Amino acid sequence: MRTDEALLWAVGQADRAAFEELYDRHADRVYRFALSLVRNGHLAEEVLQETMLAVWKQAGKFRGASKATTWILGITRNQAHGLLRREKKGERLPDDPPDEPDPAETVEIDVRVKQALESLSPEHQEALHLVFYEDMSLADAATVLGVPEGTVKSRLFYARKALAKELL
Amino acid sequence: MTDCDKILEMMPWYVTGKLDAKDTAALAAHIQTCDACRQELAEVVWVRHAVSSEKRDLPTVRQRVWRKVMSRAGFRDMAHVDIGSMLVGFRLGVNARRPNSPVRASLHVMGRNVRIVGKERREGCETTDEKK
Repeated sequence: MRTDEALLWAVGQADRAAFEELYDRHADRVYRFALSLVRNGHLAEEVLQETMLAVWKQAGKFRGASKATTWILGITRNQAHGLLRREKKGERLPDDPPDEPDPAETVEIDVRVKQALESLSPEHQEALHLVFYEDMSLADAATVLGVPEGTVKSRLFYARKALAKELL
Repeated sequence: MTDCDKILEMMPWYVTGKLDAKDTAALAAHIQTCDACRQELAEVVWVRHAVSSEKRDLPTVRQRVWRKVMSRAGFRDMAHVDIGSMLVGFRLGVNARRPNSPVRASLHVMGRNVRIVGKERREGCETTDEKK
């Protein structure tokens, strides 16, 4: 099986099959991270779409300085924040009408956990998601978030304290 | 920074198995003797479980967005036929603008695609075959 990095290199050479394999491996991950950032399934799908298009177009620029997952989630974060900024300014063009939600794919997080997570700041939520959901190392989480490792540690500490206070 | 502070900082990566061997040993030794840190560790384990407990496959989202990505990347079928359900299906696509490989067929099982026929290329890029 090819590594993610090898797939990205192949995508940079316009290999459609490699892109499909990379997409299959990362789409759920990108969608879930996007969902934790934009808190809306339809917007998260847009972020997934924009992220994967960016991967297709920019794969040739991937130099292997970080892991492929870290690179892709960094793009996801940029796309999500860009989309939220455009939403705020009212600059975003209307999209295709959203598809009917499929009950089978509804993200069924426990309601209490969901509410508690949503009560956290976006910075705390994304730190929790990357470390406890994606199992990212401290260095990788810091790379995706674009902050020093110490900032990740403190965000994580306060996030889990706030979550525990709500739930325990 | 006290020993407990350092241990507290390491806990998230201890429970996710991302700590190196030296720090793992230090943390394991510390919690043997520190009740407060043992309680903190239990809380970290619980929070991690709460955050990560819902890891489900999302085949429909994956397929729906894939089609949009393909379309916007320039892989637009002139016509296509989909047969099957969300779990298992067959897709046949025809693109008249691609004289070398106009027909593409794939099977999907639980959202994972397996190409059977056809090769595609990025618009504006030559494939190896075309270069020959």
